[in-house]
Amino acid sequence: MPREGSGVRIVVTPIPLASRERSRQEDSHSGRVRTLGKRVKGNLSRVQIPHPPQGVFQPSPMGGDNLIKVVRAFLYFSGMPITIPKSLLLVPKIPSIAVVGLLAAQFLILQSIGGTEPKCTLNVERPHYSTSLSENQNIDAIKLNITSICNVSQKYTQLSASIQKIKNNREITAYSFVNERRSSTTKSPNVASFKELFGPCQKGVSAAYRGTAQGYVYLENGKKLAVKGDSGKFVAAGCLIGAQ
Amino acid sequence: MSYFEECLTSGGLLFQEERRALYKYLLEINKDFYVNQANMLLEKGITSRSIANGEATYFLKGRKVNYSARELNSDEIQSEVREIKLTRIRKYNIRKLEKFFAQCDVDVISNFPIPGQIPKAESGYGFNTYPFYTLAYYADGRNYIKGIVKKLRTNDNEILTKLRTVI
Repeated sequence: MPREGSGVRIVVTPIPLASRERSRQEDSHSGRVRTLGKRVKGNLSRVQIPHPPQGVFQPSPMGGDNLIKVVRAFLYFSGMPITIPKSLLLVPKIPSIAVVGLLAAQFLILQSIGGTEPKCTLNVERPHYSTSLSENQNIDAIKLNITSICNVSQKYTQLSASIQKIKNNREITAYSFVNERRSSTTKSPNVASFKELFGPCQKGVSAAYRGTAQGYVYLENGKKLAVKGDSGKFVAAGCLIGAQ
Repeated sequence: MSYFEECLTSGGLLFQEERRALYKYLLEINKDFYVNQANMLLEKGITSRSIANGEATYFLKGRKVNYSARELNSDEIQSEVREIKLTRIRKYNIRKLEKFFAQCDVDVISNFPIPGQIPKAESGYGFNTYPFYTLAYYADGRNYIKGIVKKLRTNDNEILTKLRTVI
């Protein structure tokens, strides 16, 4: 529509796509056209918008692509630099070799520290007459050996153990060891041994014994594991412990 | 050799009853020594004592006292083995420390006996968790009324008499 009042009439006429294609071939340049000096005169009839570069307005089945192209074209015509920033997520900040290295390190650390689930077992040996005490100190005693073995380092094991015996067809406690604690050694950090559990007995009288124990293993990492065990069936020994 | 000297060489081979009687005996004969040791600990915050083939070092941290033990001529230290909490009453603390020292002496004798003919079993530092001076020892940490009854029924006079006999 013609504008009046300023003395300059600008008429914008939409150009069909087919004629744009034709006139693009006729144009000697593909960019914006600017010439120096005053070119507008009194009765200029129309201003033609030059063509964007080839392919800008090509129809696409995807509406989003067209929108981007329209924005690009607008920026192109307005003289602004065409810079569309890339997504920050797509720009790698850490070299991929470092990422691979970190993953490998994490895997190794988990394998060495938390990879294995801590497990402890209690090995209760059958109570037996102690020949060493008899020979060295002339003392008759029934000895109970217990060992707690873990697959990780332990601080100490705390147990309550007992030597059970059969009396009048009933199982009774012949001797008990209340809350005994043994620490592991630097040579064997996974093992705590109870080698000094003795119950005094009277030699010459036979009785059947078995050992039982239960308690906790305190691991180096602060965890506490419950353990329990016994020596199995009753086995006779030639020394009688008086009931406690 | 007296029975007490035998105990110093027996170490871990001592029966539970013998260890308990030894505790009572040590408390009896070392009363003055333990009182001096307690005063020194309360003033300086640290004190140590050698018995049998071991050494115990006591530390006062705030109101808590714990001890570390090691075999003589050895670098392997068993740290913070036992611990007691003190009160604001000095006299009561000294009485508590006397019992604590006697218990720790029994621990050290049991683990580091004087080397003799008896070969020492290869095991870590060991002791009974509940000290002899607590009811928990007699009650196995459970029913304290039963513990009182058991304590009253406990008779260590026979072993104590043996310990008091000096040959």
